[in-house]
Amino acid sequence: MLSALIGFASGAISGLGLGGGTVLMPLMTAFVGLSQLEAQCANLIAYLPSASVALRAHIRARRVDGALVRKLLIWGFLGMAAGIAVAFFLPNAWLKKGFAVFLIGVGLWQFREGERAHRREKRQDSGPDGCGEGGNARDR
Amino acid sequence: MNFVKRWGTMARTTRKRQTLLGLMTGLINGAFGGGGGMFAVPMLIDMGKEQHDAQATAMALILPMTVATAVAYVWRAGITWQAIWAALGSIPGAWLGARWMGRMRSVWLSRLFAAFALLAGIRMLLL
Repeated sequence: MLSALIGFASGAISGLGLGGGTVLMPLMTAFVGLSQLEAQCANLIAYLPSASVALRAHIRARRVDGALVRKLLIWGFLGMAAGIAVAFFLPNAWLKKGFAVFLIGVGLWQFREGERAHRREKRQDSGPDGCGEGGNARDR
Repeated sequence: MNFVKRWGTMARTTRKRQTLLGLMTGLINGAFGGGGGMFAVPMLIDMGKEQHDAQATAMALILPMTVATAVAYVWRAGITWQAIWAALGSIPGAWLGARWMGRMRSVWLSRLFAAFALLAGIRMLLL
């Protein structure tokens, strides 16, 4: 039951576009008692149903760059094989520490980007034309 | 012919970046069972994609890798009931999250998420 709640929360967060695994994996190891590898496995499985539905909607909305994806997938599968090898041959404790470092990196990055987007929106809200809804414009 | 040379360098760096993007996304996703999007989305935006297109393209890249990785993980670690419950719970969660997306683009949500990731990371590093 607790797992379902954690799944719900992580699903909602990935629906918001923030990365659900960041929430699911630490909670699963801390409160449900899964090992790091089992938690990672749970995250992979939890991603499948909602991502399949979302991806179909994205493809229908023509948001997917298929040619680029095909090019990237070749390298992606190579990297994936290496990643799986790392996960399987590294002791669980090490894997957990590696993931912890990754999480800290994600947290710092999200903080920086979030504040930057916030400042950008504020600037647009007080702009001369007063249109604050263009949050996707790039500032670089 | 300077611009030809410059174009050549640009194409090369693009290819290099594509290689890096593919490799790193796969590596992160395979090693940590997720999180590839945290790398792929900003990278795609940096390559000139708009936010939503970047998310959609990253998803198309990550989903096939996740299927393959999940098969390998289940073969190695077995499937747990908790994983199935989490998957079931994530379906209504993702639906709600996607519906809220337009309304909840608040900076506090981003801060909360960042704080959670930081604290969880520090806790896992120390314990």
